[in-house]
Amino acid sequence: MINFILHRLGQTLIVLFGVTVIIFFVLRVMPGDPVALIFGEGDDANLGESRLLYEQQLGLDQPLYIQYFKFLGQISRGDFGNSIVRGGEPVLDMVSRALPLTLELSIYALIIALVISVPVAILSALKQNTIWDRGGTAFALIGVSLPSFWQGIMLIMFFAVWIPIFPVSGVMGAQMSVTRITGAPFTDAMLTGNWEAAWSVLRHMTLPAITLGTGISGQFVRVLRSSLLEVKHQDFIDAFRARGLSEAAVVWHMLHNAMPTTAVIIGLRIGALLSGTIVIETVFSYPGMGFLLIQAINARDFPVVQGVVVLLTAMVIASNLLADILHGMLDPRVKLSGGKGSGA
Amino acid sequence: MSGFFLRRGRPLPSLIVVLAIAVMAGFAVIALLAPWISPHPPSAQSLMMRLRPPGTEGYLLGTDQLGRDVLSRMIYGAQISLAIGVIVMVLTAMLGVAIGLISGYFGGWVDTVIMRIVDIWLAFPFLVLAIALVAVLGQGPDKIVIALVLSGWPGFARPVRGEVLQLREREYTLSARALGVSPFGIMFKHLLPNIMPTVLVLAAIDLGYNILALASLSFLGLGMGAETATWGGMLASGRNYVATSWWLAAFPGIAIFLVVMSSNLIGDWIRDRYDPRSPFRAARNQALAEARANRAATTAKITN
Repeated sequence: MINFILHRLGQTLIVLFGVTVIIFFVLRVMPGDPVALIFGEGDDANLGESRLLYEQQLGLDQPLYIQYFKFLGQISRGDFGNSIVRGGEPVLDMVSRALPLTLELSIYALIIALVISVPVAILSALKQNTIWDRGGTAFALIGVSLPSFWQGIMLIMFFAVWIPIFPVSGVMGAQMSVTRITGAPFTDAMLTGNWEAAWSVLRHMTLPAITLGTGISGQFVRVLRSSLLEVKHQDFIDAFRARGLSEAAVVWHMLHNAMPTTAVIIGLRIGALLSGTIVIETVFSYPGMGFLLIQAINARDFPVVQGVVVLLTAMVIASNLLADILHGMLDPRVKLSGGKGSGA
Repeated sequence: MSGFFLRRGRPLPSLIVVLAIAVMAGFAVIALLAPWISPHPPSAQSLMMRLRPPGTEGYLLGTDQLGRDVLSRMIYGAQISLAIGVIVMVLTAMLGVAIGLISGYFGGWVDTVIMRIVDIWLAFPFLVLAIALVAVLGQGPDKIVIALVLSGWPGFARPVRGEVLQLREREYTLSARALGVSPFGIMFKHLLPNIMPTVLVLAAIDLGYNILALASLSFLGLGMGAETATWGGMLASGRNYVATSWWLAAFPGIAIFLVVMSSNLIGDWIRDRYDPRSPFRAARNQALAEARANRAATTAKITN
């Protein structure tokens, strides 16, 4: 087990290193001239000495590989540079304000996805080739094909405009505030016992979480259904039935056996979940990581773009690693030696 | 299996797949005939006819906030979505398949290096990478194509490489090598035809993803610029008018949904049809084998 974890950790470090190389070169080399971005492209573009000074200050006069290692040293110390646009605010501060919001939204969406997909998948797998199964697979197909941003807009139209149950955008009611502890508004509101604010935050998060949740629940249904079908016909299930276990207990055992695959798929879908938040946060003007990324791109604020992309990718890599280790722990059939041929 | 009629051992598409193919073909025809069938030029503004609801005389699906015809913009949007979707699909497939073939066939350190790069690439969430690339490259159809191809190629390279690893050891590959066929001759003449089914399945599903990704990018304002009519762009501006003019956001979304769902259905169908290892195919083969065994058993019973 230790060997397996160390092996995967080693692979992860290589991947992480590669990711920083790609981000560095994509964002530093391809746009050409970051200084021109700051100075503008008009007549003032070549201000001679001040430009040179600025280049020196940014370290742009040094060879690329030195710039890269400087960059690597900085981000490993948690220094992601300063925003060009917002009065030089450190990127880390901006990110640490946005990240808890995105995490909370993602967890809420994940809960919604599980609440929808587990019963649908069980029903679909137990009653294979019936109308229930067809309904379940149709739901999964629609879930994966619906453009989330459109679904979000339609939800706003139905449940915020026509039948105004939920608010259209934002994090909580304008007149409310929450004492900051973790930075995640719902958690903070609960911790401080501010029930009114907690309720408001929950209502603001519901539509985006439903949008995000239905999209991923389509994928969950597909995976869970097929792994349940695989388990369903195995001998030990027949043996349980023969011993007279209740149907609920049998289903519980089936779920137990379908869990490892599903857990891994959930871990591997975290990337899609986070990608989804980018679009959905924009739809609902929810100031998380995705909203920050799009704003930074529109403002051509490259240090912020760089910081957000590095952190989002690092989170995906970490969750993939966790999923792999979890799979190894839940499913004893997985070879823990971490040898070749795992394909992952 | 109900819903499948067997002919020469291969199932005809079920009704729903026929519908999906019809939807795709329909959109393709609309895209090709756009200049002739669209009732108005897509960017023609009319301040007199702003935000008219669907069914207004001459404007079947209504008009937007600048008085442009929604139907015409949808038709031109279909042209751009499908054109970029198909171009990206073809280029991604070509790049990914070439890299996968080289990696799988040569093996050794070439394979190790390429697969490490693929690992790194796949660590990026697809949309995040595409957004970052578009942000750097700028707007325009060519930039979008480059960004999507650069984000998508590992999706082809890895499965193709896996397939090639197996085919490389087959007798026909070995004998081709023994006969002195060059590595690239073997790769493109002998291996490529054998991995085509896999490539086809990947490509069919990729088309839907590309169209969805293009729509997401243009929704985020990172697409083609505000002038061009794209489904994603129409949705983005329609979002500001949901309270008053539902049709602006509703129709482009339905179009994206139909195209993406059809592409998924067609991809699933091709996989069922060609991929012997697909679980669906395996299940059907098993069902067929059971049916055959049953028939044999009944025949045996009757003859005895």
